[in-house]
Amino acid sequence: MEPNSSIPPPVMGAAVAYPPAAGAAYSAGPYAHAHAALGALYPPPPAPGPPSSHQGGAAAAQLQLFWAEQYREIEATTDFKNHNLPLARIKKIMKADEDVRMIAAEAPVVFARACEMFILELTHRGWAHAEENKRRTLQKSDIAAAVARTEVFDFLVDIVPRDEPRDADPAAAAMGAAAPGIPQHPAAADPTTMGYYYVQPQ
Amino acid sequence: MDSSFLPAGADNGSAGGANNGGGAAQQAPPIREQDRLMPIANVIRIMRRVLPAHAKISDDAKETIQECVSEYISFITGEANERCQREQRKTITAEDVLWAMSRLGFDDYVEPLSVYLHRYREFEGEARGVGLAPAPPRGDHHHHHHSVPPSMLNKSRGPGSGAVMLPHHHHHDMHASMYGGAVPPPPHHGFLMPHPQGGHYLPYPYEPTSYGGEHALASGYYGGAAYAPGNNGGSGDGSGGSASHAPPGGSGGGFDHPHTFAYK
Repeated sequence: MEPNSSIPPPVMGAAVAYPPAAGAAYSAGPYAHAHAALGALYPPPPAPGPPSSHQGGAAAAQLQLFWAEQYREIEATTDFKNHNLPLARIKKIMKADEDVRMIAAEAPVVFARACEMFILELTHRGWAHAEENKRRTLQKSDIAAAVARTEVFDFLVDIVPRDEPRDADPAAAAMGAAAPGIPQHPAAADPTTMGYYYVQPQ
Repeated sequence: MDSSFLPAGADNGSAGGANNGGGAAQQAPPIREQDRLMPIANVIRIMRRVLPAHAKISDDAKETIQECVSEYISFITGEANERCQREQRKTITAEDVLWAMSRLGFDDYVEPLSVYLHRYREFEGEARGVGLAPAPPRGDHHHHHHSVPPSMLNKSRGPGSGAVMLPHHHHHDMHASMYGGAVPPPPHHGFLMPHPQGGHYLPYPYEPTSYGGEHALASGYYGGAAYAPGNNGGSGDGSGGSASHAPPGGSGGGFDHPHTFAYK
């Protein structure tokens, strides 16, 4: 315990923090496996047409890099005083729930980092959808598509309702992707019913 | 232990009272829009880190992300608070937040956040030891130190530690059922690899035990132990041992397990 605490924190800068030899020896293995694991965790959504399929594969690979980057950033963190999101605001949102009594000081600190990761992941997935539609502007419908495609984001279904008129095809594709995860296949045919069935798993 | 707990409780009670007062005042009128969302400038800055330079972000996308972040905080906090109430505790700890994330499907977040929490605590300890001149920051850090006891108390309880591990496994089963039996092994195997590098880069003795989500939680507890006396260190090791045994039991359980283990 004490020897660890005596060890000085890593020097600022990724290049300096990772000696080339050690980096080469250790970085490839873990990330390669992480790629396989994350690839399994985030299978590319089935989409019609070769171009979409290719982009799906690219998106999956980018997500693997995304998580590897998260590890690298956290390992390289040296400034624990300034957070990218205000702790006081996080605490206020936590206390909006009347049942919440007291909050340990470290909880908002963890949330600040978690929300960063959440924003990055949601933005990344949304951007993948924008690219599939050959757009350079991230729109609300891209966020909605990302939410529809990612089961862990089901709790956001009410926050970002799908605009069916604008994204009829992407919405259908998203539902097609989600269908395998839903027990009742007939629901896939009806968007409205699909919405209802989304609520049940929650 | 009880005698030591009372002062901490009193202190937390006082702070809680102040917070509750503030909360009551704020709740009388509806919470201001500005206070309900994360600052949009911060959100945009974070979004841009993952977007190409030529990407533009529409205003409705910015606002949507703001809403999503607040919903995320409320979603996780609700789950963490339920666990606190089940265990008759008043303070939501960082470990409760991590537990809630793993339970609600954010497994990928738990491990990097455990590392972050561990390093944050190390930083806090160093700051406390190094600086004497800055009196105000010292007071703040001292307060932070006071917030640790509840976590330590939670850590010292074997049943609590068991409860921490088993619900996660319960979620693991659910996760497996969602994606089919083939999925569980790859994530664990994937998570095994980053740690050797982490261990090599930051030679903590706690890192080797952080394989998989449940051990990531244990890592969080070890982080707490890092700043405790030798005795607490020992209890930390005990908690780790408990964690290592929890996986087999948890794997056999279903949805009912959380309730069962909550009372164990």
